Amino acid sequence: MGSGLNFLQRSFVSALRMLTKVSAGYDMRPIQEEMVRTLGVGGTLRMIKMGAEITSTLSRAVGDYTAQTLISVAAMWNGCRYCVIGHNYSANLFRFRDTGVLGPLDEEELVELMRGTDDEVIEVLRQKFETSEPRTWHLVHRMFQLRFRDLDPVEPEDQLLKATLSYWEWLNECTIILGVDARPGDVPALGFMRPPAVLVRGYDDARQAARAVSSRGERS
Amino acid sequence: MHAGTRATLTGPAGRNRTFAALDSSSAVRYGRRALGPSAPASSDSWSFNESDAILTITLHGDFDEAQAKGLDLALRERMTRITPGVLAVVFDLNALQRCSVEGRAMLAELQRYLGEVARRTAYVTNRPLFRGVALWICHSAPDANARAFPSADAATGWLAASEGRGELLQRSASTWLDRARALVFAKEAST
Repeated sequence: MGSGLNFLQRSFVSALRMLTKVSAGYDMRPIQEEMVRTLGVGGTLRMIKMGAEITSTLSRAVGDYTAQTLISVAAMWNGCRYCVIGHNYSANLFRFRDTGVLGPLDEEELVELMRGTDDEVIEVLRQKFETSEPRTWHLVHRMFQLRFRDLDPVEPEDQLLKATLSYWEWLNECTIILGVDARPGDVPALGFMRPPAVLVRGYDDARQAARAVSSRGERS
Repeated sequence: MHAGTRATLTGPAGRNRTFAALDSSSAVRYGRRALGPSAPASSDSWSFNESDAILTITLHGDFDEAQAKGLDLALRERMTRITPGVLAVVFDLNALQRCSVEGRAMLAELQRYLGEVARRTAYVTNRPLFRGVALWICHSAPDANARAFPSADAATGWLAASEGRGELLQRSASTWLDRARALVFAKEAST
């Protein structure tokens, strides 16, 4: 492992990977090593601590499902497929666990969506969220305006949306090593701590069934 | 001289100079005009033009290893005639359709070279997928003075500043988190 890292840094990376595996149930493979290579041990700890605080504050403010959706969209504007897919997957698992319903964004659609222009992407997101989830759409749209339209933060959640946008722009600096080529199926549910296997299976089955229906509809 | 909004730049050596600030009607869009001392170079998938201390490289269509090699040669040749640290470079990726893995890797190598000779680099693209490619290039180079932007307007401030990408992003995230800490949100208040 780890060209360019000293013994202390390599030990830190090993410990971090093990901790993530135990607490979250997945391995971020080379990303934590990249964080240490880029930021050092202290910088990596700062990055992880800040991410945990923003995620928990966002979840407390808007709920787990919406928080993970917003994180996925924030990462989308930076082009990190790993975070877009992983946090959207996590959002969908939260929603499926809480309501038994599939979220409007299918992991399989995301990379294709990201090929569009920013205006095309936000239009697709509007179609997906505006009617079914007006509150989520309001926050997604607000985030878009804060990121691309120089909107002044005035609403209560705006500062938090700005923090989310800024943090993921910083984090994606390291996740992009996987995020430039990531595909659904290779990315774990980022942000969902140890999802039960029965939930993951139930969601995957429901999503496959929805894709089959959608594909039949497109053929006919 | 290209007519555009003018702004003052402070380069790495502390020299002040002016340049035509980027906007959608100026630097990135001026690509068809030959404004510098050299004739604009071009191929099927790239072209470049220089104006007011900004070299704009436009990539279009499919960009692969062969195209990247041609660009690499032409750009290095162009840069050898320029004093290091003077020129800012803007990659306009708005018309790019596809970038191969090999082409991407060569762009990272090229960015590593630009990190030594250019004052600052901005990658401009309105497509999230290519901003990811641009971020990968900036990170892999690695060049703290290169960054991806959604528009030429958004890149203007970056080209005029000198703070490294990582420091700037960390400071911004930290500042906004500090502000958000003070807030109590509706969902929290209701629980």
